[in-house]
This record gives sequence, structure tokens and C-alpha cells, in this order.
Amino acid sequence: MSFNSLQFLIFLPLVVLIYWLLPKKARWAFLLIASYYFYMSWNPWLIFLIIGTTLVSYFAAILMEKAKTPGIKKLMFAIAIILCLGVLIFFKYFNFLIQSVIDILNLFSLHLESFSLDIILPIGISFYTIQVLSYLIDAYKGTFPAEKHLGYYALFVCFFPQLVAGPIERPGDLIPQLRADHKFSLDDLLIGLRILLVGFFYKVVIADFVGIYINNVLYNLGEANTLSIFLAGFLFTVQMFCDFAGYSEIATGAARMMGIRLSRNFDRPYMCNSYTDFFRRWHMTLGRWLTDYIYIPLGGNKKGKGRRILNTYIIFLISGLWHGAGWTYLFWGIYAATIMTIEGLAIRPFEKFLFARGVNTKGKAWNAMKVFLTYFITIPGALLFRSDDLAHAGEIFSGLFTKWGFGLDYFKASFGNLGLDWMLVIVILLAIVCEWLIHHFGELGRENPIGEPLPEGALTKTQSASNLVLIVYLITVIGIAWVALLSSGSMSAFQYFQF
Amino acid sequence: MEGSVIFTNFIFLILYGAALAASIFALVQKKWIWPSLLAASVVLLTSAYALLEGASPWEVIGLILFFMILNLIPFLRRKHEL
Repeated sequence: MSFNSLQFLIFLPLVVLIYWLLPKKARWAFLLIASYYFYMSWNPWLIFLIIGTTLVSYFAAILMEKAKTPGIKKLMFAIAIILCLGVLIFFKYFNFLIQSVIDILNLFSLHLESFSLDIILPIGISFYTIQVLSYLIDAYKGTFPAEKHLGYYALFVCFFPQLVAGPIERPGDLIPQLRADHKFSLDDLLIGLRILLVGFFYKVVIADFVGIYINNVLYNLGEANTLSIFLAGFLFTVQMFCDFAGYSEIATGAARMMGIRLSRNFDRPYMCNSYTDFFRRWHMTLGRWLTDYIYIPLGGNKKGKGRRILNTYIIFLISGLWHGAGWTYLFWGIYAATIMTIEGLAIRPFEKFLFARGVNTKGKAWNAMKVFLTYFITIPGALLFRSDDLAHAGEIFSGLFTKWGFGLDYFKASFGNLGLDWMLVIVILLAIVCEWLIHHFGELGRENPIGEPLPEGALTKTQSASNLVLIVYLITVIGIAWVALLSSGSMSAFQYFQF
Repeated sequence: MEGSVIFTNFIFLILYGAALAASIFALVQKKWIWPSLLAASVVLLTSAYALLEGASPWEVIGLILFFMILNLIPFLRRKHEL
């Protein structure tokens, strides 16, 4: 049951309604059943993986807390990590590892036949596994006490809004909220609904719509030229953001309708003035996870330049592999780490050099240029990310750099390759302006103390009216786009589900 | 994209024109919440009618997005209250 399916349209209101009608003591059990049902709607048997991971980590954390010697504690920790990571590695990376070894051996003229197991990739396994790992690491370090209530812990692992594609929550942020006695608030419900609709707007009105034109180019590369591939790359950055930020907003809105605040996952990433900043504001919960649990323990940036560069490469290779078992993801990791390294070593000295020669490197114009360049740099990375395999990536990049041309016919051909006419270009531009505009309303009432409903009268007349106008417009636009996409067969699954 | 039903139909032009007038009124007036809501309602009803009359969905979506931007701008002007 994907968020953009008809079943979810029935499932969510029912769950929210029953959740608020139930007494506090019964809510966790109901949410747990609803979450398991949500996951089982993809493949009922894979629920046993989640239950197994939950039980292993639950008992391991309790045993670690009760361990009498550091050795036993460490042993418990190691066993739990190996079991939880082992499941992820087997299901996600086994075939990739075996095939890579065979390919490498074949390079040395050892002609081995391809071998692969028929393994289903359990949806969301990367997300819930690293959420479980953060719980185990926190429990091992003693920064979060082992959760004694199996029900609340199981719900932390499988809370349905963020189960399959995040945001990746820390135990200290989510478990206390699952325990809290939330009081119903209409303002909270409407704010949640607005956040959810903004997410649907991103997904249905923008991401799926531009996705149609991206495929026209990337799967007909023989006819594409440099400009059309570049435009497809530009549209893919829009699609990637709207698809994933859309999912995160739907998750955040759905949870908020039940009084639960999820972590922010995106903070206007395309408005960053450096690639480093881009990764602070793109998939923020994964970035924080990698920083806190891998980058800092490796020494971060406090052990000299060489070590910092090495750590950056390690982090991005892991991040690339986390996204998928494929060479394109590894190359994306290398690309991102290389850009960040160059940026870390060269940008500040270069700016100092220019400043000394009278260039205002602290002004708005310079900053705007940096924002533009940072965005420009994300396009090759995005195309690499979008490629099916290295051969496809090679074809895309070869087209990007070799099929130059000029003149009106060339421009017409570029837009023709995308399948766009002027009316569709206007619709896409209007949708992008709307994204910018509704962002200004997106923060309205989002932050208030965890577990506390908005006090009565917290929203001004202006806020309530803007909420209402936005909700009415969003429902209409999403409804029309949904029907249009469904009837044309262009509705697509969330891109991040594959991770 | 099908042929434009909206831009060749007199009734749609009048209705969308009325919504545009209400939106502009909302944009320049101090009492702006009701004109905004009125414009939004007219746009939505007209769009539904246009869809039933065979207008292209993406053309209708384009118009709704245009009015959405126009109707949200007055709220942005009171950004300090948001």
C-alpha cells in the first residue's frame, strides 16, 4: 500500500479516526497492528523479518543493560549488530557482491558463470535497519536506556508513516512520543493535513508529472541531444526532491495528525551555497545518522586534512551503497566525496585570493552565484543516480558532452525530445513557483513542544484562513492530477522505496 | 494536450475573469480573506465544470496553480502573522 494509492486514502483516515477514539492505553497496540498491516500489504511474509529484527534488538538492548561485565555487553552488542546487519546484507547486497566478485575474477580470465539467488528486496529494509542500529548503539553507549515495553519498541521499529522511506528517527525522539498521552487538537489535525497535502502536491503534481518527460529522454538517448539531456537532468533534480521530500512530508503530516512530530528531512537543499551544505539539508536524518554513528567515531575532521578526506570518502561510499547495490551508486558516492574534498580544500583559499583583489566574495551576488553553481554540480550526480547501470550512465554522459548544437531548430528538437509543448512548460514552471510559495506556509505551526497539542487560539485568523485556502487548493489540484496520472498510466512508485 | 476548451468558451472566460477580479481585489484590499476564499471557490467550481466539458486536466491544473499563487500572495503580505 503506497502512499499514493487508493487504499492509503481509505487506510489513513480510518487509522486517525480510530486512534483518537481509543483510550491512550490501547493506542500503541492499535498503531502496531495498523503498521504491520500496512507493511504486510506489500508482502505478508516479509513481516517476519521486521519482527525478527525487533526481537533481536529488543532483547539485546535489555541484556546489554543487565550485563555484568563489559565483555558480555560487547558480545551482546556484536551479536545483535551482526544479525541485524546480516539480514540487510543478505537481502540487499548478496547478489551484487557475488556478481562483482565474478566480474572481477573474469577480468583475470577466470571465466566463471553468473550466479544469483532469487531474493526479494524487502521494502524499507535499509530504513528500519539503520533505525534499529541507532537504538542498539545508543543502548550500548548508555545514551538511551533499553526500552522495556516490547509494544512501544516494536512500534518504534515499524511506525507506518516512516517505516518504508523515513524520516529515520532516533529512539530518543520517537519512543517518548509513542508513550505520550496526546490530546486531540483540531489545529494539529489541520496542520498535519496541510503538511500531508503539501507532500502529495510534491509527489503527484510535480514529481510524477515531470517524470513522464524525463523518461522520454533517458530511454530514447539515440534521439536526445545535449540540451535535452541537460533539461532532463534539471527536471530529474526537481523530481528527486519532490518525490522524496513529498514522501517525508506525507509521513510527517500523517504522524502529526496523530499528534506525533517526525524529524525534518529536507531544508530547501537547492538553495545551498556549497555542496557540503547541500548534504546538511538533503535527507537530513540520514546525514545526521552517518555523521553521528560513523563520521565522528572515525575521527571526523579533527585528525588532520588527510583523515578528513578519507572519512569523507568512507561516508559517501557507505551512503552510496546504502542507497542501492549497484556500481552507479558507488560512483555517485565517489563523485560527491570528490566534489566535497575539492570544495573543502580550494573554495576558501580561492575566495580569499579574490577578496584580496577587490572581488566582494561576501556580497549577495557572489552568494547567488555559489547557489547556482552548487545546483549545477548536483545535476551530473543526479544523472548518475538515475542511471540504470554503468553502461546507461556512459550513454547519458556521452550524449551530454557530445551532442551540441545551436539555432532555433536545435532548441525545438530539445523540447520535442522531452515531449513538452509551451503549455506544459508553463504548468511545470507554475508548479515550481507554487513549491516555493507553499514552503512559506509549510512551517506554520509545525514546531511546538513534542507531545503538546497547539493551545486553543494559537493560530491567528490569518493563519487559519491561509491553512484553509491552501488545503482547498491542494485537495483540488492533487485530485485532478491523480486522476490524470492514473488514467494515463503515468503514476509511479516513490523512488526511495527501492532503497 | 487536447485543444483548449477553456480559452474558447465564453462562460469559462467570464467565470475565470470573475475569479481573477476577486483575486486582484483581495490583493489590493485590507479585508482580503473573503475575496480570496470567494475566488478560490469560483476557480474550483469552474475547473470542475471545465473538466466535465472535456478540458485537458493539465491545462486546468495550470489555471488552478496560477490562481493558487495569486490567492496565496495576500497571505504572504502578512508574513509577520504567519
